[in-house]
Amino acid sequence: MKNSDFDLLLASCIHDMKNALSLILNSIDRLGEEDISAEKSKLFRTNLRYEASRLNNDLIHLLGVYRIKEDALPVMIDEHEVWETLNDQYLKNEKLLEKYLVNFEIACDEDIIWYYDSELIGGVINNIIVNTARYTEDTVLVTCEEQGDYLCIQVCDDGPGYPENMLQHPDTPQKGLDFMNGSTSLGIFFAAKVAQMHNRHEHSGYIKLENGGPLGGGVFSIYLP
Amino acid sequence: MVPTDYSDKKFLIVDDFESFQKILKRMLHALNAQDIETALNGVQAIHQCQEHSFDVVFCDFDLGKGINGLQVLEELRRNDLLRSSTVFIMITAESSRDAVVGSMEYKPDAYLNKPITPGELQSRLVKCLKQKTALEPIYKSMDRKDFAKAIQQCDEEMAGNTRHKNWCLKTKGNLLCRLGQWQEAQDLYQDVIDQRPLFWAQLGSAQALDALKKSDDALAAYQQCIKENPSCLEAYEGISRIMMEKGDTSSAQHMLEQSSKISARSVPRQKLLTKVCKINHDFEGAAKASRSVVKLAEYGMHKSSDNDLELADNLTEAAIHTDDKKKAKAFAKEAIDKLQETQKKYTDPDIKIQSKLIESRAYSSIDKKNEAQASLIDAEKRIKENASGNVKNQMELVKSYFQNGEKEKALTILEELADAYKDDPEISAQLDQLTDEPVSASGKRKVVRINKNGIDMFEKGEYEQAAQYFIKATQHFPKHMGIRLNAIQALLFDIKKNGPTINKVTQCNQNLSAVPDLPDNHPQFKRYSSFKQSIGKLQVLLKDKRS
Repeated sequence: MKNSDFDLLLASCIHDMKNALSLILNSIDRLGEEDISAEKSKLFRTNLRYEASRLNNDLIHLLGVYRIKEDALPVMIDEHEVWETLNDQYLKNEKLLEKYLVNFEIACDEDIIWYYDSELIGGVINNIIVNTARYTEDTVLVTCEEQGDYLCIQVCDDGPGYPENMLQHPDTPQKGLDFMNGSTSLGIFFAAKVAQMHNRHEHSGYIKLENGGPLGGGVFSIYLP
Repeated sequence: MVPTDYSDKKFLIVDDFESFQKILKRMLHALNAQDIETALNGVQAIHQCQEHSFDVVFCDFDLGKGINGLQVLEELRRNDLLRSSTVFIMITAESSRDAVVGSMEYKPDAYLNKPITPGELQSRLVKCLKQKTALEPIYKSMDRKDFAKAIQQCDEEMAGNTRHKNWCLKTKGNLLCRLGQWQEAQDLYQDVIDQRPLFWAQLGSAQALDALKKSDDALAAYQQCIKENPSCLEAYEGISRIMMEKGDTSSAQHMLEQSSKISARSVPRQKLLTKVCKINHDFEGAAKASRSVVKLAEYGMHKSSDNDLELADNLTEAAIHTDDKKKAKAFAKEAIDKLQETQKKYTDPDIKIQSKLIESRAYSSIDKKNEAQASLIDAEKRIKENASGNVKNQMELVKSYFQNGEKEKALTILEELADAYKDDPEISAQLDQLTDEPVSASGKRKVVRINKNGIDMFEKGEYEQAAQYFIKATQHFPKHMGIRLNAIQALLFDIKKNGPTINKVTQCNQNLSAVPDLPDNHPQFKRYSSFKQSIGKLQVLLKDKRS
C-alpha cells in the first residue's frame, strides 16, 4: 500500500469520526432537553446507536488498514458455518435494525461450510450491514451461495445505491472524497484488502459493488476462494 | 431461536470489571440461568474451578495485572480442572486479537467480541452446548485419556455425514501427537494442507516434522507459520528449540525475545529465556527475563522463593560481568534489596543460607569486601548449625568461595561433592558448570571426547560443524576455556572459508566474553590475544559493510 493512500484514508477516517462524534454530542444534548417528545427521543437514541457503531467500525478499520500496511494482520483461515457468521452480524445489530424499522433477511443454506477468517469477514459484513441499515429504504437481504471455486456473500438493499466513483474502483481509496460517505469508502477498501488476503491455490478473494440486484438498490458482494 | 432454559446449568463469569460481570449476569438471568459464580481475576477463577464443576465458563481475555484469560485456560487444562464437556467461552476486545490468534495450543470453545448482545450470547451458548452433546462420546474418551479410542471415534464420526469433520480432523491430529505417532500426524496435516492451507494444519505439520527430527523441513514450516501469523508463539518457540539443538544459541535467544515481545506473560517461556541468556553469557538479558518471572509469579501460580533467588543471582552475575561501574552498582543494589526482602519473607533456613551466599557475591561484585566476607561467614555459620547437607547450599557456597578468591576451599568442596554425587548425572553436570575444569569423572571423560571429536572435524576442514559442536558443548561446560577457545577458532576458520555473518561474529564475541582476561604468562595467552584481535577486525568490517 502506498503511503499517500494511507494518508488519504487516515484523513478521511478522522474526518468521519469527528463527524460521528459531533452527531453523538448533539444527540446527547438534545436528549437532555426537557420538552423533548417521546418520538424525538427515540430518534436521537437511534442516531446515537448508529453513530457509535460507525465509530467502532471506523476504529476497527483504521487499526486493520494500518496493520495491513505494516504487514502484521494475521489471517486465520479455518472452517466455519456461513449462516452462523452471517447471523452473528445480524445479532450484533438487532437493536439498530429494529430502530430503523429495517426488514432483515438471511438467505443462506444452513449447511454451507466455508473457509475464511471469521472475525475479519464477520467484521467486513458487519460494517456493510451498519451502513446499509442507514441508507436502505426498508429492507436488507444477505445472501450466500457457492459459485464454482468461490463462496459469494452479498448484502443487498433497496436504497439509492453506491455512488458512481465507488462502483468503478472499490478497492482504491477515493480522492476528493464525499465526506458523508467517508466511512463507507474506508470500510469497502478494508473489505477489498481482507478479501485479497484469502487465497487458495491460484485463486484470491475479491469484492464487487453494483447497483440494482434483487432489491433495486446497492449490492455488495464478497467472493472467497 | 429455540427457547432455551439454562436453569440446570452452572456458570462462572471471570472479569476484572464488576460492571461487566453484572451485564453478563443480567443477560444470563434472562435465559433463566440461576447458578452463577463470579471471579475477578485468574487466580480466583482457578480456585473456583477447583471447588466447583462448571458447565459454562465465560472468561474475559484481559484480566488486568495478573494472568490473562488464555493463561487461565492453559492452567485449567493443564491441571485437569475443566471437564471436556465444560464450555469455555473467551470474551475479547479488538485489541486482544493478537494474543488470541497467538496461541494454537489452548483454544477456547468459542469467542465473543465485546460489546456483546444477548442474541449473540445465546447463539454461542446453543451452538457450543449442541456440539458438546453431539461429540460427547469422544470428549469422554479424551477425559479418560483413552486417546486410541478417541481417535477411532473421530474416524467413525467422519465416516458419517457430519458437520464436525474439521473438528474431528483437528482433534485426531492432536491426539496422534499426544500418542507420539508423529508420522501419522504429519500425514494427516499434509492431507489437510493439500486441500486448504488451514493454519492449524500448518503449525501441526511443523511440530510433527520437528518431533520427527526433520529439522530443516520443520524450520521452513515454522517460518511459513510466522509469515502467515506473526504472533504465533508456538512457531517462535519451535524455531528457538531447533536453534538450540543446532548449537546456535544466539539465534535461539533472538527468537525467544521476539515471542516475548508479543506476549511476555508466560512464566515457562521467561524461564527458558533466562536459561538461554545465561548460556549466551548475556547476564543482563537473564536478569531482565528473571525479573519478569518474579513479577508474573507474584500474581499466583509458579510462585516460589527459587524465582527470587534466581533473579538475585542473575543480577549479581550481570554486576560481575559488566564493565560499566554505574550499571554494576545498580545491579548489585537491586540484587541485595531483593535478597533482604527474600530473607524477611521466608523462614526456611536453606533459603536464608542461599540468600546470604548470593548476597556475599553481590557485595564482592562491587568491591565491598568486608560486607561480602560478613555475609559469607554468616552463611558458613548457618550451614554448620543447620547441617541439612542441602546440595544447593553447597553449590552456592562454592560459587561464593570462587567469587571471594578462596579457590582452594571451593575446589575442596567441589571434589567432595563430585565424589558424593558421582551416581547422580544431573548433579554431576551441575557441578561441572561451576568451574573451568570438570570435577566429575563423567564430565572429565566428556570433555576429552568433545575435544577429540571437534578437533577431528576441524582437521577434516568441517569448520562449521566443528564450531556448532563446540558451541553446543559450552552449554554443558560454560566455564571451560579450552572448549570456548576451540569454538572461536572453528568459527574464525569457518568465517575465513565462507565469509562473515553477523550471527557468526556475535557467536565469536559471546564465547570470547566467557573467557576471563588472561595474564600474559598464561599458556593460552598468545592464542587468546590473536583471536581477540581477529574478532575486533571482523566487527569493524561488518560495521563498515552495514553503514
